[in-house]
Amino acid sequence: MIALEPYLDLIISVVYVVGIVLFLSLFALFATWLERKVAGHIQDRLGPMETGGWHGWLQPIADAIKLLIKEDIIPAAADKKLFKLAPYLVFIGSLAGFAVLPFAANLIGSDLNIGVYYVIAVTSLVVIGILMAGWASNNKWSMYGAMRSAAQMISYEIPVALSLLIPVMMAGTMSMVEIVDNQAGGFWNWYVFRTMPFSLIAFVIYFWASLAEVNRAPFDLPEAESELVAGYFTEYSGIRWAMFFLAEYGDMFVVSAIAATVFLGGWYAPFPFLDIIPGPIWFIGKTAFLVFVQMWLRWTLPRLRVDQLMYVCWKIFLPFSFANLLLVGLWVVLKG
Amino acid sequence: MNATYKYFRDIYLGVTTVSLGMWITFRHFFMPTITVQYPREKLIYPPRARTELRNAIESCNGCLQCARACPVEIIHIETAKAQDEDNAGNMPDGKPRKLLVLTFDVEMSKCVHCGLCVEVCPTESMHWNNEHEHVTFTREELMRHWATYPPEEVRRLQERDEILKAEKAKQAAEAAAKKAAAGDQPAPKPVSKPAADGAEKPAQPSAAAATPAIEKPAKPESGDGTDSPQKENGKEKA
Repeated sequence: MIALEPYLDLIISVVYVVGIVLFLSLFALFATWLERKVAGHIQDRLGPMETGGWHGWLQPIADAIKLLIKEDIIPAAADKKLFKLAPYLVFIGSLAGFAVLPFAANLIGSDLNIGVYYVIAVTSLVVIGILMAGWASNNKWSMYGAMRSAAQMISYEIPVALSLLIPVMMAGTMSMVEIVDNQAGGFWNWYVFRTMPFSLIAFVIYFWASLAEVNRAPFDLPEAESELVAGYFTEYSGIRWAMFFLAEYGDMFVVSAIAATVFLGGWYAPFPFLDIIPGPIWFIGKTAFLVFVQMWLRWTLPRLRVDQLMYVCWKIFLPFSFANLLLVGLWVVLKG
Repeated sequence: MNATYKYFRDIYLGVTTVSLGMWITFRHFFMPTITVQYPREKLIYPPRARTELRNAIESCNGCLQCARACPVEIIHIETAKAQDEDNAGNMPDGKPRKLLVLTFDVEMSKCVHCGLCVEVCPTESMHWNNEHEHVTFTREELMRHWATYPPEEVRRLQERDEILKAEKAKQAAEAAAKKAAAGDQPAPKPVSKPAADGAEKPAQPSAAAATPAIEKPAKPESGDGTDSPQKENGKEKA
């Protein structure tokens, strides 16, 4: 028998990564179904009802199979290497965020001491993939979409980072696990309610800016189908398109999970006596609720104009974030 | 000051209108949906919805008005006069049936759903039946046959009708001849009548009965006029 011990860490890592990829795929399947259901019911329709019998629950499987067996078209004028590489880069950027998501106290890829910083850094990788896709497609719609996406994501990184700094300041650490541990013992200890109203404002700003980060409505300018066909993935089809889609839903999960972690108490139950329910269920439940709110917003609000998008970011979110940061800093200094 | 006021007002309006919009969509989330799961649930259409034609043959008096109103000429009707031996019974309004409707065929595949036949029907036997799925594998299946007479019975009744008509024409000719002999009535009048006018005659038995005897000689022509569509119908039926 070979000695497994030197490789134990590696094996555990591989198993965890495979598990996360599986979880991400399952979540994306569920989220596409949920999205269509939410859209349907908000518009007084039913959404998918046929596939699989009960409320069309097999519809995402059918869609996935359809996407897998579709022809993979690469435009003749495209930059083929970059064109092929881009969807994987986008997907990796989204998947890398999962590494520091604390599903439970000991169910976390890597409890980095710079967890929050890592997430902010690694999700920016998505911008490179999107720019690459837009450029390599050699298509004006793709290019417009990619440029918009880059402008939007880089702008909104700032309010996102400033809002995430508030719980970091209050916890005094960037480690995800420690931030969550500081919120133990009931919902009144969650950071969203700790320094009212500053952290609540920070939470709202984070949530809205994260919508722009993941290109969701009302900030879905990069893929505005009424103007840009499909934005940066106009030329993609089949499995490559599915990678973009997977990345989008993965990003939705990541930003919602971070909100749940740093503002909503992570794996802790809202009341201490509910802690008998396992942590991952609370964590995924809170995240799924925020994902639902994202969908709810998408089917409520119209798309913003580019100038409105920039106005909201630079003139509203940014000053409020700075004021928030100063006031919470003062609070922490005076209290500590 | 004004710009500051506008800035905060914009933020206030942004927050409140987004909340209002979300409240509205949240309410819609729990409203009953208006979708009908079509093949399993079906809507009942308003009575005048132009769905598929149906003729309630027991109340059809064979007046041919629908066939004449039809802009695409897809309604084919053959009638024969009811005799005592037929026990034709009464119409729904209580009056005795004067015409037997031997065939009543509609080519639904060519119907333009204009509704004129339904509008003109004096007995309201032609109506929309609230079904819209005329889907078949062949065009022939879209042919609607509502008359209940078997083909041999149709042939027998038509022959009987011919014989009776011929007899009547003979009597009328004799009567006319008598009248002509008595007075100086001009004979060419019925001859100049167009054949199309004659073709309508079997459709209006009461009118035909009321017409003066002089027009009767035109009848044999009318028989020829209605014969050809009858033969066509027979073929389509076969």
